[in-house]
Amino acid sequence: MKVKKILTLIQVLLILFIVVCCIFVGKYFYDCKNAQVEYENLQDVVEKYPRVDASGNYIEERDDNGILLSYSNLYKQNNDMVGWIKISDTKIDYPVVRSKDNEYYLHRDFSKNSQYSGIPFMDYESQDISSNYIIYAHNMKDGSMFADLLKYEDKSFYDSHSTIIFDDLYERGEYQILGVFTTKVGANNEFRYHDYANITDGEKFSEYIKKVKELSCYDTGITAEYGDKLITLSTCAYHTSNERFVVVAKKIIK
Amino acid sequence: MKKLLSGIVSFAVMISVSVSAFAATGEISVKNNINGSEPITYTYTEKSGQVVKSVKTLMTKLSDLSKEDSVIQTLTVTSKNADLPVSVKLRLEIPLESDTQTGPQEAVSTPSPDEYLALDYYDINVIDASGNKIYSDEDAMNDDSQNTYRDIPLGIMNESRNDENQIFNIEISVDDNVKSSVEKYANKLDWCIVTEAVNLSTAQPVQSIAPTATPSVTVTTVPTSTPQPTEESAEVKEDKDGTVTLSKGKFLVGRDIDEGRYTMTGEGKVHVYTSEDVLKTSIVLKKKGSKNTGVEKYVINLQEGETIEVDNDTVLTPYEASKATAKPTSSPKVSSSSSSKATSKPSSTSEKSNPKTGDNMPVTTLISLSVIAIGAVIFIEIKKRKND
Repeated sequence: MKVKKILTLIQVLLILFIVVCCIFVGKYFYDCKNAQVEYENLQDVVEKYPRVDASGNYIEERDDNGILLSYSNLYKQNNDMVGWIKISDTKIDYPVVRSKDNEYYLHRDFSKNSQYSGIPFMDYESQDISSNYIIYAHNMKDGSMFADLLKYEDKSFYDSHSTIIFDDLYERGEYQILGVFTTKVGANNEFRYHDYANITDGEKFSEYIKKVKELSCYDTGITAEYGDKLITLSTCAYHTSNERFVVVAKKIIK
Repeated sequence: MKKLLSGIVSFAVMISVSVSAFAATGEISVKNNINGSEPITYTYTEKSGQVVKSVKTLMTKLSDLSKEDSVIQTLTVTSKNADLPVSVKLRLEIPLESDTQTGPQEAVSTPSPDEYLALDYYDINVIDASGNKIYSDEDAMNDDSQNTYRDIPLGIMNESRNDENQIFNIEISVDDNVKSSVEKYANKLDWCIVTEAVNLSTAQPVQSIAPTATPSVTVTTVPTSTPQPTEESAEVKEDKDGTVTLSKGKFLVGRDIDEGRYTMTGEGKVHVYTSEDVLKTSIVLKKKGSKNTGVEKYVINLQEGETIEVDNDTVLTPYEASKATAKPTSSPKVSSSSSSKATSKPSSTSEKSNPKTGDNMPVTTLISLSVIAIGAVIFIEIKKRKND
């Protein structure tokens, strides 16, 4: 009789555990879904003004403050916004923000509300004058944010998706990928690419490109020289702990 | 006699009407970006001196500071019919209220220390329509003088004598270092636009450069490069911390001066031309505390290929160095440290960490454990029933 009571107690505890787990997992996916819906709403705002008109020319409709009409409404909602990133055939289609540090938007959404998946954000040191914009975002298990960036591990994906769209508030931009690499934070041979967020001289630029090409998973045949504008996309990789997956591209349309 | 008198009067009236008609009367209009809001418009002449106009009613975003860390108030300043360039400033001013407790001789009360402190309550950055930061609080000089106002230079308009429209995005946040008790005084501050006609050709008491001065290039502590000024008489002096002193002359950015963001100080006129030789901006600088027309400092982005022309000694302090508290780096390069926004963060590479962008939510583990738990519950139930 006593054993039966103990078994019943264990059963109750296990059921409680299952309920808690279900709530936890359910909330995770619910939040992810909500975040995705919010970003889809933002995408709708942006897509009201298509990038290219029927004849293939760029549309440069601007607000009074000079900001592209596509982004001026979003900028009014959050003036930390610095641009928009998009990679075709991936979920990467998000606004990019920049704060005074690299922590603020790790777990905040575009409206600055708490959200686990955060939003792609530019390194606080990557100011307009820098030749390199570093953009970070989470590698979410539901496939959102920069999770799809890891598709670039596969050279065949690179071959069919070698360009990235990154518009700043004032200019449209298309970037050609020149290197894809991984590095482990804290390892002896770690490449501290995040120290290259503010490149303003040729020496540092060349040093960065050299290292990127050296570490690249495959040869893209593309290189860059000082004067080119770079974009560096960074997310976590899960091959080993504390690993980062990084894609570097250079601007091809000014 | 009557005819003569009326003739004289009509002539005088005619002359005065003609003079007033031809007098340079400029018009300034300030509006914010809220649809339907009424612009504030006023006129001025060359003789008006400084014209101060309150635009507090246009600063509609200030109230949002209670909810937001920072707000951006966009103001559009339009200058029309100006015969002379006009310098434009944004001014925060302590309202000098009448003190009813005191006698008529002391009709205006002296501001309290907290009221003076209120002038520093807001951190202000001004960005133009192209996204260039034209004023930054971070590199503003500490002004210990007991002024009842604080000026933020917005630049010179109407240099080409054409009507001009300028958009200023004023980023305002609350300075955390200022005690919160001054908030009530900060709320009372008046926000004004200050305009003043500037006669670029005659206004500045520019010190003449001796024509016999030996043309030379002096590099005081920098062994790495020998700047070559564009004009032979021009001189560039570069300090260890990257501060550049220009003497009268023209200088090419990228060759004589490193590209980057600088705070300009000095006395005299400064013209900056783009690589296409188009006038980018003109600034009239004045010494701190001087009553002359002009601004005490000006933040500018100098890009490679641009030419800067100065008519007197002008100091260019790298944006970061002007406010850095740490020891200057050994490298005199302006560019290596310029323009970093997060000033509280050290720029040294050893301090910065790579943001953790992993998804650490143990979703798979929890799902696996739940499945195991369900199995265990079922197993126990079967066991119990078997025992029964």
